[in-house]
Amino acid sequence: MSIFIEHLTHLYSPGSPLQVKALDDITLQIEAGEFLAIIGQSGSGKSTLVQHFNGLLKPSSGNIYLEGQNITVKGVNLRLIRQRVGMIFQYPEQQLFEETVFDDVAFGPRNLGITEEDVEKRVQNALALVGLDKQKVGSRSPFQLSGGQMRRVAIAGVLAMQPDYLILDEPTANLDPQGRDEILFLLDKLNKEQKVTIILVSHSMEEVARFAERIVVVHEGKVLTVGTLAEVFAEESQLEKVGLALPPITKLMKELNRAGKKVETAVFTPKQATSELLKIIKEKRVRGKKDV
Amino acid sequence: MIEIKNLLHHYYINEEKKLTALDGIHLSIEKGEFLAIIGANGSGKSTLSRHLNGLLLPSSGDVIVDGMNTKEENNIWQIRQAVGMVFQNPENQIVAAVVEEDIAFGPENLGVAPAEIRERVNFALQVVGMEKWRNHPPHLLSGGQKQKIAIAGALALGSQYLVLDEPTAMLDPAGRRDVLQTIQKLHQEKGLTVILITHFMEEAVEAERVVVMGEGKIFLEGKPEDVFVQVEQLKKLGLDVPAMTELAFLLQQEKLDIPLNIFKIDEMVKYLCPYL
Repeated sequence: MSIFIEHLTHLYSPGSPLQVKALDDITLQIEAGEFLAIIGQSGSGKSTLVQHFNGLLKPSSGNIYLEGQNITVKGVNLRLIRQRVGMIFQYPEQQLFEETVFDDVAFGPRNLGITEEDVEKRVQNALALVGLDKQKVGSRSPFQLSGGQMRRVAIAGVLAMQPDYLILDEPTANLDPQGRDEILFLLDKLNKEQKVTIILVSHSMEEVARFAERIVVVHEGKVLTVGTLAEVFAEESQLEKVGLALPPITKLMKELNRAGKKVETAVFTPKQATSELLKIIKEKRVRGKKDV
Repeated sequence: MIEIKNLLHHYYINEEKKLTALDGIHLSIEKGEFLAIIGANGSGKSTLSRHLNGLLLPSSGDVIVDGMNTKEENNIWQIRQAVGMVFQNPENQIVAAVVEEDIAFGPENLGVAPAEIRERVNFALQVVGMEKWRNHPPHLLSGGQKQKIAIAGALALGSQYLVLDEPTAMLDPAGRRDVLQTIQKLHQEKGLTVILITHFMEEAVEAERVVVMGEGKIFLEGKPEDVFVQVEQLKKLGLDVPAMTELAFLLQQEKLDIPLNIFKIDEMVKYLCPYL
């Protein structure tokens, strides 16, 4: 159960003077059920990379296997693949088009040839997952909702297809902190409760540090590093070289280390830092008492 | 100086239904100031920014730029020269096929003499550090570079006030840093008045004054060190505080004596070391 990317190279405008190598020999395994983040600068190739995962782009060379099936060969049923691997683009609210929220979310399922009753169930479930009530917003125009709500409706449209894998390309761009948190918690819930594999494309370390288990750093079309949060964040100088910043909390812990304080540096959020610091302070107090 | 007096703004959804986007705003922006405006989506901050150069006009109340009221049609072109705007999406504000022509677009339309246009374009390119790219097609630039070209366009118009509406929202970390440094340089070295609308609290702490908006009103206003210590209030508005402030807030709850107005990592290190 996985997506396996094997020696993937992608050229834009191949054979022309404008030829650009967007992806250069990428090999990567994505495990079913994981929460994976793909980070990199603008232009690093991360969006190009994920658009191969459901066959939207075809490799110039290399193969993509979805649970063992090569999806890059002729005769593959791409419709089925795209049901299983859902894709949420940047600014997905720009793709809303129906007159009501219900119809917009129902658009995908209706094309599956299932009964209207089943469609309704799927829409209701999908809206509930993103924290919207079908009774309240179902008959409203999606364009009268707030930006964050519109984005959640767009996400519900993809969830209604009940994908096993969900790719999101910078899903929190332009949202305020609360809207951003709503989306991130939703992804965490989908991953934990519905066992959906999440592939989150982002350039914010702070954001991916909150929920992702594994990080892929893409730079100039190549995979620079793959590993757990702690493994990737340990390579600070390499990350800064490619224009990515560590979360401020991680930086703080590293600075404390440099100041001679023994603290764990694989700490990414203020909450984690608080418990780590308190632990050390308590240990010091205990030791202090013993010394007396 | 920009004076905003009891500004109200309604958007009409249809003939009967209206939405109050700005609800009695009073605000004075001094010349040479660096002001940040923060607020949740829908709090009215972008609407407010569009009043500063007359892109939107008040439903009631006044906006007065250097003594010129935006309501008077005769003032509008002068106001738009004085108050330059940079929007969120770098793709939407570039008009020409070559960088220097894009920057020259504004002054050309004002009928400025060619020799002076050249001077202004050179000056603007130099200030934003983009001289090397003057003959490049803008679509080959990065997002951050495009935003700097948009800023240069405002400079070439002779703008004294620069309003930036989430200029870094679509940029990666390197682009963000680059644009923010350019904004700071313009403020410090060229004395430009900067009005920065942002969702990034780490950017807002760089300003001299922060205005917090919620539901079309000004909720809080003051120096960053006075505003960001209101951790609970800001969270209620759906906003963040800088990471160091949040940590200080959590540690205070555990009875540690760490002030909330810490924004920088090295300051936090100083406060924490005695405990560790």
